[in-house]
Amino acid sequence: MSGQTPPPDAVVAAPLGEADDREAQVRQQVAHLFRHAGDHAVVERLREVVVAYRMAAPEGRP
Amino acid sequence: MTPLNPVSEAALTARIEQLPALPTIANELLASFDQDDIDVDTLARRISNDQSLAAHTLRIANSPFYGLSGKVGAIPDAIVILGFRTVRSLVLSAAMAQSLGRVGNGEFDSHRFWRHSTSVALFARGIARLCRENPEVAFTAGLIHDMGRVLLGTCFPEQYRQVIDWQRDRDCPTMEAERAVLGLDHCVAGGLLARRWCLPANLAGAIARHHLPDGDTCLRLADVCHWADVLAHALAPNPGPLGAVPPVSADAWERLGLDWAQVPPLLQDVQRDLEETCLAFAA
Repeated sequence: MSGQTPPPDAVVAAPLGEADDREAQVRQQVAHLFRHAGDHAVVERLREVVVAYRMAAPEGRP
Repeated sequence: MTPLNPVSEAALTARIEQLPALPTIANELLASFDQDDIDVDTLARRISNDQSLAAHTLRIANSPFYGLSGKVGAIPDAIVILGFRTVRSLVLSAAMAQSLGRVGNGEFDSHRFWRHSTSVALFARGIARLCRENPEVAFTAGLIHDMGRVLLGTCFPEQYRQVIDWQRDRDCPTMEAERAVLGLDHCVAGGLLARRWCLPANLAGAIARHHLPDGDTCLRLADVCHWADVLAHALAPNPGPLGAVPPVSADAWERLGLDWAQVPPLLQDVQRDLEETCLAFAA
């Protein structure tokens, strides 16, 4: 039926799925970028900062 | 491991001896970083007397970055409008860029190189402000921190091509590839060039130790340059296969005493200023 409203879960699921995809992609890019950086806590923290920075930026910008 | 195609320090030193020295005025300006009582008028006259250097500096001062297109006709004008500290950085940058030249080796991406150097300079200036170091010295250090790579790429182009191939084939950090192929790295080369140019000890130390800032005696400017380099790699838009973040010193982070909350604004500031600064220094 054309006027039927989709269930709330479906409405929420689509954009969240896109966001998840983008975050996964950014995390993968950043992990690759940091592959030689080492694995101590400071590097982990910096990686998180860079992921958050890239996620907050418009798509296409680093 | 025996290097693939070794370059001895003696051979490198011999090539460095053939390079032009920095102009005398550049050394005088470097010395002025440590002076409280600076004779600005005399330095302005001395800069003006080096026509090539003055012209290069004025091109930068008149670039869109400073919003003064066509308004700065002479070095004294530049000092009045931009301030002595800014002009000093411009002159030093121009002098070092002229002396190093531009790397023409096809495998060595000079555009990417200068963009990275400018990014490190901006990060170094920002970090220095946060940890109360001299931001202009840090900017200069950032701009020239990789001059050893230019030196190796210029003087030993075939060997440096092998370095790049090695790094690409094995996906390893630059320093590791340089040591495997040449038996020395760009930090050693930069340190030798810094000595030839009689750079102040803190600048020379930052160049020689920006990848290995830890040791018995730590150098604040090397810590600044190390983290500026790390952040510049982390922010690079298209780092390519050779642009990974190098090995990171957690101890240098601790020594700098920075707060993680300060990093995102720093990333934003550099992102905002990078394009125009690159244009200015490419003038």
